[in-house]
Amino acid sequence: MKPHLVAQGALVRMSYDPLFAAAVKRAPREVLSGLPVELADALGAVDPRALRRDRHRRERTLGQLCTELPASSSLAIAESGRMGLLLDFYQSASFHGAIVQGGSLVLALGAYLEERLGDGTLRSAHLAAVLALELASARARRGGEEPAGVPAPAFDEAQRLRRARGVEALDVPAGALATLQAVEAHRFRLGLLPGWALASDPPALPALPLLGPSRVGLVAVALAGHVSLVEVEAPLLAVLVSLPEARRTGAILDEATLRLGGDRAGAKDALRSLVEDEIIVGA
Amino acid sequence: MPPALDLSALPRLGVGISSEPGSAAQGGIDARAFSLAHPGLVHFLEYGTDAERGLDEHVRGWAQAGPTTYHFLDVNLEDPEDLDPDWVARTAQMALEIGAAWLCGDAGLWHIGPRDRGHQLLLPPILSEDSARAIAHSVLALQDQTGLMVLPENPPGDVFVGPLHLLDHFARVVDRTGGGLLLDCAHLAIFQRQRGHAPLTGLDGFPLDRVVELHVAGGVEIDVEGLPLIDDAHGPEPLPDTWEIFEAVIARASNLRAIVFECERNAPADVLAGFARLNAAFPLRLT
Repeated sequence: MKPHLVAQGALVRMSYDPLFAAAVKRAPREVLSGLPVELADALGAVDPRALRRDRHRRERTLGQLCTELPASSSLAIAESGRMGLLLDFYQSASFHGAIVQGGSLVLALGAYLEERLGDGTLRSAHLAAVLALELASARARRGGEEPAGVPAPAFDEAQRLRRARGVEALDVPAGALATLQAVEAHRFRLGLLPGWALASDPPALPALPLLGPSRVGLVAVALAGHVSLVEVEAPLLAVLVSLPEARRTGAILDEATLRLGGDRAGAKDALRSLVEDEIIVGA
Repeated sequence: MPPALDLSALPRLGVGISSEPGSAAQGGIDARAFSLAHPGLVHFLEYGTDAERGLDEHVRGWAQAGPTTYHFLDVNLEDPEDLDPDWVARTAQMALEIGAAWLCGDAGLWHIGPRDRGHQLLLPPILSEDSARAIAHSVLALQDQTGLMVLPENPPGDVFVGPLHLLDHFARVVDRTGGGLLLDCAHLAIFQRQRGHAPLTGLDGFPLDRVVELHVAGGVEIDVEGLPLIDDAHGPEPLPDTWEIFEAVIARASNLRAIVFECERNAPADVLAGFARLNAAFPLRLT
């Protein structure tokens, strides 16, 4: 990447992360070692007050990102009891990595929450479940769409197949979708009267549905910017998760058969059905 | 380096007003109504948008009878790879639909990374040789792919980074494109103030004959923890520095074709004086 674009990325990171900005100010050449020294020094000379001119930048951006992770972000706040947990995203490796590598900030915020679940900062099983749902939708939305009018691939074992663009598969504990709906209903209620944020007795998050020990297979399918979450049977899910990337039909069937306890006919029917529905396409 | 384009063939659009998706419907100035109420003050509409929001009924209505220009809000000219074919096709289609005389827009960073939720911003370019070269490359590519002239504009900013003066940076851009420029007088005033320069510093050596369009807008002096800055607020009253730049440039901008008063979010009565002054300085028809 050209130095001027690297410098722009650094400036954006400085705008959102005051700790990073302070580090650049202290030691620009060390912190920005990938930049020509003139540009590193120029960034080190930036008046930090100018970076704070837009006082609501961090909150505004976070609000935009949370529109795709509404239930997850709400449950994270409910569990931690502080907005700071979300604002700390801007100091995370997920945020800085997304800027440096040109990744999606929505997905980076999701990854940040996954990390907080991983390191024990957050422990809610409900959060883990709805985060998986919302992240799958976010990934599907960014996956693109298949061009129209492409004929279905031939169904033979040498044919290479892949998941269609905009399709994500996942399995979640039973009750995850009901949890998502319950949190959305609570958010709707809170939104009726924003002044509740100032009250000492805002409506409490209601008891959430029990998460069952069984798992539910879901497919997130994006179409024209909208994402549908559809429940799928175990054989279909087994085929879909056997396709993280393009593979030969034979290899997909082998793995799906294994996941289905040896039911090759079931795997084959599922694969054929997914191809007919254009959930799986020729690679 | 391509030969310099003949800018004299471009249409003289006169003084125009800015607009963005939904601005008129949300209480901003409706250019058609304003024009009917105050004939002779607004001659064209500059529509600023992005591929996602597209065109609105306001610009479609105006474009049935009046000239337009298309101001992009979603391409990083500093990064030639940002001109993906889908964006170029959608932008060209919209510009064609409203009969835009040309494309224009701030030559900096409109989004960080991909065009995605939460990635929108506006940063000025890094004022370096590399950046100027990249902008010129993008301008030439976009002109080639759309068939429309592309006027890069100097953006506003709270922070300007890089060794070059902003005018020297854009002079390098136009040296490489051989084309035209959009000089935003209010944005230049912001830069000059931040660098501690007088309003006209750097204009002496600037190729003013390549300026096709000017922007004028009201700004507000603000104080951020003791740091004086100018907020590019698009209010009704341009700062004295902006007017000083405007007067100096218009006297020498031999290929000037259009002036936009970026003021659509204000009350019509508050912007009449500004439009009158701009029209007096730049009448639609030369006598």
